[in-house]
Amino acid sequence: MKALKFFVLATLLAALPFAVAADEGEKSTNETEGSIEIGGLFGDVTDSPDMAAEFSTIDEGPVGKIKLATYQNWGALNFKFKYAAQDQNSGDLDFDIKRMVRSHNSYNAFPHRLGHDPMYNLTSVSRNGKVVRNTDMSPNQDYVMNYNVFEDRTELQFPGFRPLTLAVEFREQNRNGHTQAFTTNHCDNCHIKSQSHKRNQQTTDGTLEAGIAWKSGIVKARYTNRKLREDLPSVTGTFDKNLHPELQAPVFDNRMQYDSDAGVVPVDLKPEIDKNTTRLDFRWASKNGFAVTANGVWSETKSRNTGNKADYSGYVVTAAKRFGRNFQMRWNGKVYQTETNSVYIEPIQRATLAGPQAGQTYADIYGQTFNQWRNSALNRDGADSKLDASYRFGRKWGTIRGIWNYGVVDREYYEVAPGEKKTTSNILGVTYRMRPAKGLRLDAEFKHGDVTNAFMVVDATCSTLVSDRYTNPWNPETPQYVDSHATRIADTTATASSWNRAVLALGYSFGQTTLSGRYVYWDGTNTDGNLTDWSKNRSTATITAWSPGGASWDWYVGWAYQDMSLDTPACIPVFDG
Amino acid sequence: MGGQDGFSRSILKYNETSNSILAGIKIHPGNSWDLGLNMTYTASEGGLDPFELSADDYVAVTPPMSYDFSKSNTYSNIDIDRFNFDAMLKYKFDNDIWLRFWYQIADFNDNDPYLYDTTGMVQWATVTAGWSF
Amino acid sequence: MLKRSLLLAAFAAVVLASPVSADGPVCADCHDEAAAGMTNQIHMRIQPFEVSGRQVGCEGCHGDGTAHMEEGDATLIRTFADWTPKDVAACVDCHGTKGMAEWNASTHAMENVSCGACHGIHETKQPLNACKDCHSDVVAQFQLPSHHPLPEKMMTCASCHDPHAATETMLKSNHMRLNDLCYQCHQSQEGPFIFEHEPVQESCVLCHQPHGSVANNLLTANEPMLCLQCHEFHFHAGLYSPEEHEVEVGGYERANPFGVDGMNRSFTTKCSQCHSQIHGSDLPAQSLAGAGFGMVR
Repeated sequence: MKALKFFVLATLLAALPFAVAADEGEKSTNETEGSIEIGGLFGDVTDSPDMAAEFSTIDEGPVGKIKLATYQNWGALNFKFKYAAQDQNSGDLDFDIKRMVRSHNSYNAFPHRLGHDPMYNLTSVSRNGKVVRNTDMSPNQDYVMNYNVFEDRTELQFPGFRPLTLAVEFREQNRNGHTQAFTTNHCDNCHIKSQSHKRNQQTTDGTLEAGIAWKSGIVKARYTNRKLREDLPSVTGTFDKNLHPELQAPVFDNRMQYDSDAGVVPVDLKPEIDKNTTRLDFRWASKNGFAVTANGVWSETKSRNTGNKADYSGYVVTAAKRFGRNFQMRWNGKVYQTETNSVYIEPIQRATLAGPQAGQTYADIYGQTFNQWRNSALNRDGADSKLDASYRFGRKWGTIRGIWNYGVVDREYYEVAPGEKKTTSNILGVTYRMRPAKGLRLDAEFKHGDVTNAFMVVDATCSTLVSDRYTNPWNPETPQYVDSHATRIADTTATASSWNRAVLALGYSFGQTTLSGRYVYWDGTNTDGNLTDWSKNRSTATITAWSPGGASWDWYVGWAYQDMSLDTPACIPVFDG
Repeated sequence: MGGQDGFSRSILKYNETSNSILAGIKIHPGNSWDLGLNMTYTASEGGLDPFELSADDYVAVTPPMSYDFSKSNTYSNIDIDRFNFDAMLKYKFDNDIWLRFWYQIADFNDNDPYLYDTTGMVQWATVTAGWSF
Repeated sequence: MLKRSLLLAAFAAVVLASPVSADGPVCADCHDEAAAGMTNQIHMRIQPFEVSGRQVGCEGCHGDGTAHMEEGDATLIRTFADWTPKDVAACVDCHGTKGMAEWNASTHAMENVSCGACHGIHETKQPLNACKDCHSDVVAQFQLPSHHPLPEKMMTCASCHDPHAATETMLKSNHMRLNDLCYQCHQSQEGPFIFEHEPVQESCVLCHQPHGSVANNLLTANEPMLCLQCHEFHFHAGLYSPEEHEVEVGGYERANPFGVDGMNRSFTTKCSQCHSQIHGSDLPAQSLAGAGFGMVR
């Protein structure tokens, strides 16, 4: 890496004098212009700024803007920077040197206010002695994350070997501030504790790219290394002792993996990750309107906390051809595979200290350990095929397009229906855009999707367990929560197995003014599983008018109405909880 | 009666609606003046319809339980309106020097607080002098 | 190593640097206004070596102007007045190897949305201002209370979308999964986690609406409804609370400010107050029977 950087820099420096000398006699325009603006920002906040200024500064102080553009024989430079406050500023720097070095850089910083949940609702008592309470260990903390990102892309391309373009990209994203971290303690009471989690998160991406281009195509290779690092240690917590709420006796110790006995433990832990991505791209276009692209992506993500890895490999091919003036077809095909390693989970079994189960673990009494392999729901093979054909009748009667998309997701472990891990989807659609008269525009679209084995949770709710005894730590023979879970029968979902989307848009331009209206409707249902009865519909209507006016004025006005309805069955177990 | 007695089930209905108005105008009446005004107003509501998850027979013999969900639909209501307005006035003394005044207001009204009241208003005023070269 | 690199660099410099020049009819003699506006525009500064030796300058886009200059006939040169497919092909001829590789197979191309619908060449035009002219329903979504900061101008449509890309949604991650686009900025949700929340592995948009939503955190529906699509109510939600606002339990005075509705309110307001690690976690929850999958720590 270091040697490559040195070679590139040395080549650049050596090439510049030759390139400058070769340009003698060429016409050029030397021009520099710019502007500076400075002043002050005054602010006023009433009540909470959390949503009113969710992404804006509320600081007061100096502000400034600078713009500079220069076009010289050696190249060009364009610089803009806007400063509103320490937590809100942005800039761009584009420059080129003889068009052989072309660099684009951007920076953006702004705050994101997250709000402080005071947990008012988490205070209650039940008639049979169950308690919900909360402790806010950072009651005065403002939860705000300051976000900034710097992105650079610099290309190198030399006249003597013009097919080759080298590029370096660098991206650094920082998120620092405070988030609200919650921990939930059981048994003595439902005790939710909140504390401030100071964050200093940095994501760095470095990319090397090389491409060989010719008149009809390009081949490109790209490698990106990403590091996500958290500069500060995670917050910690001590869990409450697992006591019976009324008896204050440790009779639930064998149902909880840990409590205060574990001491200070990490909580709200986000993993640091390393991610490497390699990508190859190919494009070729013929003179008779045929173009094909292909790309392959391979990536590996590794959690530095656990060593767990997730791999992705995928291949995309697109092909498009124009037949004559009016008929086009395109096909987009994709196959991919993603997987992560399985993890063996061995929950900690502890012996109860008091009560009739004293000295016994859960396994001693019930014979269950809950040891299991966590086989990831991420593991899957996928394939998509998208085929479109469009016909252009002409400028007036517009273009009609037919769509057929077919997709398959074949999961390795996760069942979306009893015994089924594969989801297939078929989408058929048609769109039509026309300009039937001067200034008049009509767009229409209809799509229908059918999904077999849409994403669902099998046996997720509605427990059929009927027992004559309460769940009771004094009596090991009583049914346990696992028995209640094991007798669930309803399959649940937030995904449609059949859906429709319709769009109608009208626009009319008269003089300088354009009036347009658009209506988008979507509805979906899923009744495929046992007791599944999910449906959703969404509609959006917009009317806008705008006029760029002339040199002296322009205006716009718009109205939008949005509506969403969602129906789903919900269950609750009927027992003394 | 004791233990578990199966489940209670109900269809939950959730609805969201939103109305937005956007408008703006930019005026450049002469060489010296530029005026820009923009506003957006959005009123949004969301919430569950009332529902029941009754278990009357079970409740009758199990005192700690009520299965009374008559108010549950009200705990997650959303009723928000938001008004944003900004006005920018620029006066050019000549081609190269100008004065700019920019006022912005964001007024957020949380009419049915969910976890806590997020009502608030923020106003910003920026005064700048500029020079181009 | 140093000596070898310098020698290689010197050799490369001689090979790589060669004269550049452009010549052709002087369009500005007649089209002085257009030419004045284009003086330092990028299309006039591009050099032939950048575009595989193609003609640059005015003729780079408009084609050979000799006949047009001799006859003064506008039909003898490409004018882009009507943005025909041949006009679009003129742009794609260069831009197809410059980051618009998939244009021919893009949705915009298939619907004959031409370059001129969004881009201005002779006049300065911000192409991203054109998105709202057709996608006004998306503009409406950004007005909802929770939204990505596009109205605040901290992001643009191009932060997530590539208008030249070959898929229906034109997301920048079309060569990977949808989630990978979100992980570009929200990397801390990527994991891979030991304790997974399966819909997160499936797709971020099962729970989130990236443009804007009425519920906070870009959620498709507010909690608890969002969660109740797949999960049942917590069994404690059916408990009865006393009327008293203070109750003695286990020797402690406990607050019960909501009276008889207390427990129901605690358990039917917001699931993620307790289940805060909703995207996944490497740390186990306390419950043994749940094997640590509670998403609470």
